[in-house]
Amino acid sequence: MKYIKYSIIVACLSALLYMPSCEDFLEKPVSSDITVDSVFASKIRTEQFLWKVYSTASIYEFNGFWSGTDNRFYHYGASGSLVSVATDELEVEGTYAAIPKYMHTGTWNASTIDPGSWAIEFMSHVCYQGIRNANIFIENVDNSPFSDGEKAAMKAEAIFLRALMHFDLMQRLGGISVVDRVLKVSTAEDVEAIRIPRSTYAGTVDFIVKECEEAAKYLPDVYEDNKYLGRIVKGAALALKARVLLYAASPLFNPPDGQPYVAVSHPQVRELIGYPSYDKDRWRLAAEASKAVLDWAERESGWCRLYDEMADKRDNYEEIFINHTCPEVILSAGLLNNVTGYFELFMLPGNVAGPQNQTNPSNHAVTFNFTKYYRKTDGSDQTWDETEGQDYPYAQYRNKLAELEPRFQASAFYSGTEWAKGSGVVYHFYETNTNLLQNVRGVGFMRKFMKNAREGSVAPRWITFRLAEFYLNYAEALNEIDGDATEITAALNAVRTRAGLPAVSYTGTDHMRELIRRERTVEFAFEQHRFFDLRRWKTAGEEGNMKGDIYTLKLYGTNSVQDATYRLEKIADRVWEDKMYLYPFRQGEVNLGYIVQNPGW
Amino acid sequence: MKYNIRKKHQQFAGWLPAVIFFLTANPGVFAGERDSLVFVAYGEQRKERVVSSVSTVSGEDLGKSQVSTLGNTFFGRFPGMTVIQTNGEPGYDEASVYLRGQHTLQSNTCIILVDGFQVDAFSQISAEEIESISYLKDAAALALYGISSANGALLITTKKGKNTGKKTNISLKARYGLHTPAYLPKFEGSYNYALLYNEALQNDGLPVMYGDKDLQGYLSGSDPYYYPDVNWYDEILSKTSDIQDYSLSFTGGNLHARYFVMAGFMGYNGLYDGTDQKINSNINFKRINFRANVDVDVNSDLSFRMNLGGRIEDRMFPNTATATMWQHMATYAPNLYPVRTPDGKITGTASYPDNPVGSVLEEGYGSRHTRNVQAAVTAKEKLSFLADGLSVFASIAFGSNYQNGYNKQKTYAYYEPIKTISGTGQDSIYYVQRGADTDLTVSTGNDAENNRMEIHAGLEYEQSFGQHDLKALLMYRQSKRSNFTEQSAYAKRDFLGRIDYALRDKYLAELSLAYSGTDNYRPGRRFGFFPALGLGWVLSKEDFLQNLKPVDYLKIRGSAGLLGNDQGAARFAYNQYWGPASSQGYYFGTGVTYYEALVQQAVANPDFTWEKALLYNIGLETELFNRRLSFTADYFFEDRYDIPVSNTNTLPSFSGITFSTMLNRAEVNNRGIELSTTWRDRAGNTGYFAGAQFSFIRNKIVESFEAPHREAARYTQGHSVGQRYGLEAVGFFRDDTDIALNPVHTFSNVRPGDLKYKDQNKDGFINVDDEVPIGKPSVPEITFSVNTGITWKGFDLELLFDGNANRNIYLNGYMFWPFINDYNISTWAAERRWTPETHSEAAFPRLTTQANPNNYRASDFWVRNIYVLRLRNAELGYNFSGNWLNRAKIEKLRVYVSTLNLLTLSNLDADVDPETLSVGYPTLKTFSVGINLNF
Repeated sequence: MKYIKYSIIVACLSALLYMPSCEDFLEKPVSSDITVDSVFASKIRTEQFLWKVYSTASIYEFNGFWSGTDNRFYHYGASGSLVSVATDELEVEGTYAAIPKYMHTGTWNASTIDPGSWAIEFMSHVCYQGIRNANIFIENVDNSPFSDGEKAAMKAEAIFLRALMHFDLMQRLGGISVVDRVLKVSTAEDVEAIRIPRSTYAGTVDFIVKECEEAAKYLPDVYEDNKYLGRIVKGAALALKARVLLYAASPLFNPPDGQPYVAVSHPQVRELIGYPSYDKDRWRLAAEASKAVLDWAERESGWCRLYDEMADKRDNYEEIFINHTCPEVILSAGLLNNVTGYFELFMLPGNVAGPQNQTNPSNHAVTFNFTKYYRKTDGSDQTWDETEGQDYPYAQYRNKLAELEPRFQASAFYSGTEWAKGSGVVYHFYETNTNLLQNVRGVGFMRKFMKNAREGSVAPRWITFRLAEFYLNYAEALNEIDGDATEITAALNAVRTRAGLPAVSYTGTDHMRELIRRERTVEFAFEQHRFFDLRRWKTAGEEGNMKGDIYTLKLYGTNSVQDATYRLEKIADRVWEDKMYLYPFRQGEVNLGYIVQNPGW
Repeated sequence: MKYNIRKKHQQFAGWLPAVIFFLTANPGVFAGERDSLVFVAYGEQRKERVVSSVSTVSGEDLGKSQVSTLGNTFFGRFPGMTVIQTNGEPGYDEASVYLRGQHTLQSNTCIILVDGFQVDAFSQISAEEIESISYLKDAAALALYGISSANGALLITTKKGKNTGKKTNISLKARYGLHTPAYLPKFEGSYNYALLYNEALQNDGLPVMYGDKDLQGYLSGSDPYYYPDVNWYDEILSKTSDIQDYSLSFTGGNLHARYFVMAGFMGYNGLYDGTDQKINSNINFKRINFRANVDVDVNSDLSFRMNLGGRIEDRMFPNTATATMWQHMATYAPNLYPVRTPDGKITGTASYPDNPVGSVLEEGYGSRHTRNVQAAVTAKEKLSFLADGLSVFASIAFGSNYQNGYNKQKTYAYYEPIKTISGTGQDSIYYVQRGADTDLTVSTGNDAENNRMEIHAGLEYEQSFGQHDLKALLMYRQSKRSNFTEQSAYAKRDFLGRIDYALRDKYLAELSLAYSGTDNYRPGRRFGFFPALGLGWVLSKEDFLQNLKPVDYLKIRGSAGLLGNDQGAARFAYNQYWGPASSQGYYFGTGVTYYEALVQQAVANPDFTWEKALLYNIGLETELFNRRLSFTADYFFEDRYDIPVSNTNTLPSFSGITFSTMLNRAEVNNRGIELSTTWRDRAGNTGYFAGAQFSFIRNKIVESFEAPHREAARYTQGHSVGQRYGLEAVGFFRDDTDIALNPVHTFSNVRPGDLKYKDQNKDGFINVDDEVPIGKPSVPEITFSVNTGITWKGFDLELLFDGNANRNIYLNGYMFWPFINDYNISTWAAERRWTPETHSEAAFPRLTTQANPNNYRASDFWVRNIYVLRLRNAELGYNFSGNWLNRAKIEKLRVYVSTLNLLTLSNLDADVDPETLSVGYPTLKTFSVGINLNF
């Protein structure tokens, strides 16, 4: 009897012990978790991850904060504004006006570009987040159920995006750490193992070029319908290669006198910030790469061409930026669209386009310095003989500006013109019933990208590459190697005549360089080219570019057109130091001990 | 088993007389020494056989403090335990309890067990249901808790029934107390406020705000509506409020069954005046505890134990958060507005709508209702047919905690006084209504629930072979804790073993092994092995000490072992998560088509593991002079490694990770000593005792894996956990010349009377790079207490002082920033402020109305090293005696008066309570009367 009882107890105990041990007591219960295998086992998820690569990539070259996607912290522009505000192109006024000033006043440094700061144009660590996503995609896409051809094309998109992000870093920082694989960060040992030092400038260029060539092999020339407008085409890879090689050939990185932009003691540092000696052949490579883009557009793409389809040259130029399907655009990115979308919020001037944008528009205004780059429609220069501080009649202001070429009319909204063309509503800024006069820190507001826009308008797509650039790139590079004069002028005139200016003939390398640079300045106004062009030309430090006095034509007046006057006035004094040709690396990054800081910082 | 214990009681009788001596004098005072059994992990041990470091305090001692949470009874009771209470709100006044200080950069939370089963919280268990609490300190004591053991453990053992024959022991306890805040800061009245505000404005280069007429008005106080002068503490707080607790328990049993049944009630009222608990409420906390513990011997071999404990907690409070309430009372200026309009309506302004009186009386109330049940059943069977002394046992325990909320809310109309001048040139005032009266709306929510299920099963063996005593435990344990807000339950599983060996009661050894695992780590890396060895040597049993008269008992012991800590770790960090996230995607196409994207979340760390601690301890226990003096000393050293730290600080940015990953990289060393001693004696009919405890514990970060800093002084490595960093203040700026001659202070434009700092890196600028380690850690390094008592005839008096030192506090926030946001100014600040005249003796910066980032930042001006000494408990009792008690069948009748937090001594030179810094609900001072009645 007793033993039976014991048996029962022992049996119960065994059961107790057995019950929990039989099943995975310590296993994590099955849930809705997505694993790396399930991501790339599904077509939809594989695609979704590619969209993630897109959204963290730097396709914008634009104030990402306005884009509404998660790379918003990548480019702040000059925060609430375009980086063109840091050049002689634009000035801003309003809630966010204080923020871009850090770039004017020279108060930025390696610590202020640490994460968490708003006063920042660019954040390298977010850029590397995009690179990491691209690497994850590249390493895993082969496991996905797509066909081999589809996989190769999608992988090529990620390779291109990775290259674009490296370029984005390089144009600001020089030689950078090249990351072409998913870095392991999960164990303590990894942390030291992945401290990759900077590549030389040459090495970084070579990497990007190679990647572009690789991607170009598999990218399609076009996507079937406009559903995928904005995806990478072969032309984009060729375009990036062309731009990279143009930059690499330019004086900042390929100095004709062999001297770096600031004194550098250590030869190793010299190699990080550019080529240590001049090589004219780099211009030839740049010319060939740009020609390849033009050839692709003409012979392969079947759609890509300079846009020249409207009789009115001003309308034609404006159309490029607002027509989402403009055939000149090789790569563009969509922006957040809604009533309170940041694009309208920041870009529309004053309160002309709706009440909402009164809250904090950035009021981008075209400086007088920049206005002077525009010619009159006949190709001659406007006479700017105003003496500072003296009053001139308002009519003269209107006349002089009205005489400027169509691209100016499309790019600037100045007093005495309509906001919405054809509406008949003319704005005189000095009038007290608008808030335009107090907010304009230039000759007029920026109008480009916003033709007739109102609050709630569909935002434009922001353009990364358009074909006109490669005409001017080609002309610029070919001119430096004393190439065929006809080719040079043909490329330059393609852009000029499309804009409504008369063609020019060849006038020698130096003069042609001047013409080509001025054409580029005007054609790509506010498209965030000049910010980098002034650097690569090593002319940022010249008076009136990114340094020194910025002027405006300021209106004064009563309520009558006859009594109003304008004055030439200085509105800003920009600080530039030559160390700023390249950005500093973040101090927190330098403290880690593996990054050589750029000179001067 | 039981037989063996009794046998050992007899063996142990040698050192009982002294204890019994005092017990007869006053059992209450000496309850701590009543039992020579010590509760340890999964068992109990005779005190003299213990080779691990364990401190034990009886429930009776803890019950002497009339407080609403158990943790607040711990002050001064356990050597090596640091208790810090920063909030006195009834029901929410849990103290932070540090067992041997801080061990890690992560969670320092210890584990708590009730009758051997882990619980989430202990704070609402009543002291009346507790037999004792064991504080397990060293590796030998903790190893069986394996992967969760390294932060220490508190073992709560509840009372059991006793064989009392036919009689049932009935105990009735009743206690009633009144409390007030232990300390309230003093603020300036309206006249001084206005004067000083003017001075602050002048310091800022701004025009003054109060003219002579205003000042005159405040001075005369003749028009309390036009020139109000309000002390918000006086308006809100009642003079005293009350706390009461009652308990009734029944203890009894016979040879076959024993029981302990207890029920208790505690009611605790907050300090707010004029509330009705219907449409508004004071802070209010009510708790009912009950417990039924039953042991049944079915026959000579089989026994059962059933422990059932439960409690009901109901809390009520105004709808304005308590911390906000107290901030308003402290910071609202005396002349902000009168409390009410002349016709009794609540005032308020657009900027300061929350008139504290309105917050208490006009907004309804919130309440929380908690129900907690714990049940455990254990069966034990002797397997003497297999081996003498062998038994098998199995337990199952279940614990459940449920909370819900019930809130009544409304808004009310309040009236903003607008000052104006009437047509006749007289001051006049009219009131603008703001807000609106609404009806009460009821909402429920704030639900929370968690459940625990734990199973134990194993074998015990205990046998003596001549000079050899052997005791062994082999056991399996698994537990699951679920929380209804989390997807997956926390699962743990352990295989445990322990062998105790004693040779001639002189040479002691204990080996503990735990093979312990949780679900939180990668398959294959879930289990760890945690061994510990403890050795003891009872020298007093050696011949060479037998003849040494004064030494009655002397033991040295030492232990070493490996422990784990998995607390506070992120869940399933080994797993790589991916998922969609909001607004992650990309626009393609001509319209506004948004393509959703997928995100890689925090990068997995497949090697993620628990913290490990190598813990060494040596100790000495002795009793001298006929056991009148007892003394215990412990020294420990702990090397805590594999502490998780985020990799983001040390990763290059080009790693591209968005979310941080925790790596087991940091290391902290902790070491300390703990001493405790008691002297007990008796002279005539006077008995007395005096005891003291002291501990000094210091930790050091050996490896921090932190971001590189520009200045070496900023590294936390080499300093204690919780080390504060700040600037070194070198006085106040005397004048503009002084400012010009000193390094540029970059935080804000400085003026004379602002703090002047030392330029540590000598770069000519004062900025964050000049910060250096300042002060001691925030958790005190030293804790101490003195406990003393005397009995004379029927009277007894006992005092408990406790304190801590080497503690750093930061005087920060609204109590120290007068006039910021028009905050009130304390008399303390007003008296010490800098003015050009008082510059040499000033001890507070110039007054300012502006945010002053230069002055109000961490520096050694605001960071103070303090000590605090409190008279935590004082109790005077009288035991009635005489035949009338027997006639009334009363065994014992004791009445007493006691106080809590009566006196506080501190070197803190600031007008705030040194524990709470007068932020939030204050620490309370309580006066109680009580009666204990035993039948």
